[in-house]
Amino acid sequence: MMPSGLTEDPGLAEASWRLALEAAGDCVWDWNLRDGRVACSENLREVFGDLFAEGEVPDWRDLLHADERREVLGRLEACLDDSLAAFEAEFRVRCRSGGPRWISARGKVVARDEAGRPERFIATFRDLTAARARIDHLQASARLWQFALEGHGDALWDWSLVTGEIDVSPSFRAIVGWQDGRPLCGNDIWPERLHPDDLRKAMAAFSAHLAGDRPITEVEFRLRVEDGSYRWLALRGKIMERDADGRPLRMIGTVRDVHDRYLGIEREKRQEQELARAARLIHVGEMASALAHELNQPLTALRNFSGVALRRLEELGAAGARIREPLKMIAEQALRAGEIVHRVRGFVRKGGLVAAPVAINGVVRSTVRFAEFEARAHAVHFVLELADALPMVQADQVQLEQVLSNLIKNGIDAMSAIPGERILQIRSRLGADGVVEVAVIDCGEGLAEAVRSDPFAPFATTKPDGVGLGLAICRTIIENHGGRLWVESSTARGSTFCFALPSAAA
Amino acid sequence: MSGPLVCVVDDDDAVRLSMGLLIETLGLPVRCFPTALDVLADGDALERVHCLVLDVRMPGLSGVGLQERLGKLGRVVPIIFVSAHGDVPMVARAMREGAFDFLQKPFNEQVLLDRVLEAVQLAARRRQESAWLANVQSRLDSLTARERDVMEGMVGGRLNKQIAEDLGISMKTVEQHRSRVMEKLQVDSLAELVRIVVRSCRQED
Repeated sequence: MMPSGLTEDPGLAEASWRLALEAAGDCVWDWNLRDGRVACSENLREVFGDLFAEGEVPDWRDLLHADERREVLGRLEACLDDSLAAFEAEFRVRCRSGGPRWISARGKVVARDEAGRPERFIATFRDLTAARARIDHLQASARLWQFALEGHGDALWDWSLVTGEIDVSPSFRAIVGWQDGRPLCGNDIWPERLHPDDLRKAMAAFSAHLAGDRPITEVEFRLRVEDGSYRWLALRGKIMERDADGRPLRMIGTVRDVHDRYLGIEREKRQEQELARAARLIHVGEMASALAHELNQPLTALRNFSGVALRRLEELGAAGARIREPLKMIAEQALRAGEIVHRVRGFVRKGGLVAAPVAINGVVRSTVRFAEFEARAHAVHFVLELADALPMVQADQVQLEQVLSNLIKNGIDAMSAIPGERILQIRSRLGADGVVEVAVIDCGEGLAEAVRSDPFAPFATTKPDGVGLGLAICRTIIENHGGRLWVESSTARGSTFCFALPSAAA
Repeated sequence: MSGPLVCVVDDDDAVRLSMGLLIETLGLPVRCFPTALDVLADGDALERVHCLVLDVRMPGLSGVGLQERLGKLGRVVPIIFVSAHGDVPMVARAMREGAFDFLQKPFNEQVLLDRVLEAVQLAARRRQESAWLANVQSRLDSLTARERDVMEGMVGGRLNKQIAEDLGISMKTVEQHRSRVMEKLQVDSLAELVRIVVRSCRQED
């Protein structure tokens, strides 16, 4: 179909470049503004799609997508007015099948009358749909990539080493707590917000990479966030652009919030230390137990011999008076040494736990029976309030007895200075989650200031001859049973020590 | 030689020697043994021992083991355990078996001496009681069946007449039996008779 109404000099040249354009996939649209007629190349349908019926030449302007219509028509108008040298636009057109097509248009007024009114306008159209799709796909995959990084907990940053400006992703802003999108400098973040203890390490990691000593920057540090607290972040970065001389221009990387993991590690480290400490305590217990017998024998002999000497001294009368006092001291120190050995040893038996189902009330009753002697000596009365039908606990009975007798002894000691009635209550009950709880309640003077903060700390003691291992080892024992030992309360009217053990069935 | 004896059993030489010397200051004869089996081998000591000071943990027979052997032999001796290991279950076992006391090494030697004295006194009392009981028993055994019937009537507070009626014998026969009972049991009054019979019954319980 040859356009009609064209000027009389189309010539071979025009036909040639039109063919060339058509071969490149462009549709040529030749508009005669004097009579409004349009000539169009054969490939119109290929470019604009099937909205056009065969042989039909409607106006492409009717097909414009509403979003671009105004803009495109405005540009066309400007071009015809000569206020715009060339018409260029990308727009969508409706299509009968499939989605809208993206069209790229370029056009120009090629002839004007003497008054400057446009007479002829020629434009080429190209179908950009496939190219647009590729760009969309690229952008989408870029977004996906970013999304994947951020979804993985990685926030992104893009740092210009030339200007110092840094572009950070929204999730980076969220970590730090920046609400607005104000531009930032790299220096605002590092070193400005680095924890003083991590500063040297972090800056060394950057320098090593910038100097080419390291393939990437990889470092973990604490960063001060907007509320003033510090969060542990893991940073990775790499120089992405260099100038001709190899000087770094741009660095891109990620940061990941590893705060919780760090806390977890620190907690694990603490737990490990606690375990090691417990192991040391048990070791001390075992060692002491083994040593106790060996030490107690000579201490006994020492005490006895000094006792014998003191009694024989009586026969000498006044002559022995000067020897009596030092001899008495020897005797006293022998007992004191024995006390220390007793306190340290025996809490944790060699060979570890011998766990079996144990009735806690039975343990309480038997331990109380053994403690009767001492209680009577200190005018202490026991009051037992033991719950019926408690489940059995899985435990080493001997170790539980050691814990209880230690708590009872502490309770008795706590009441040694009070004038009134000295009652030591022991209660058992079923606690929450099926645990069995035992409380030892004295009406003594409460924990001393020196040990109140952590009465279970090893070597914390207020007793002149104590070594302060009793409660520490009690706690180790209870914890070895999967239970818990704690101070329920401690006031001037008494203390309550509790432990809870899981029931054997649980 | 007879008389009260304190026996010390401990495998540690210094402890054994020092305890021996200590207890001697009470003026009591002491015999020391390095093992529990040595005690069982000493018949004289077993006969006279008024108090055993016993280490719990010893090679061979343990202190608690010796306690059980003595119990089976029917020898009731106050035992004071001394131990360098004050394990709760061990104390429990020893006390359940009737130990007189349990001292943890090292101990205040005065406490040991006090307890030894008390143990010796207890043992002496027990020996007196059992000697007296044996004596009374032998006297009771010397009664004839009829004399025993009459004695039971007397202890039961019945009059001669009632006893005569109960047994179907004459008053005169009752009076004869009655004086024979008083004579054989070596008592001067009815009150004294009642007392020794009641006491012997209580001892047998």
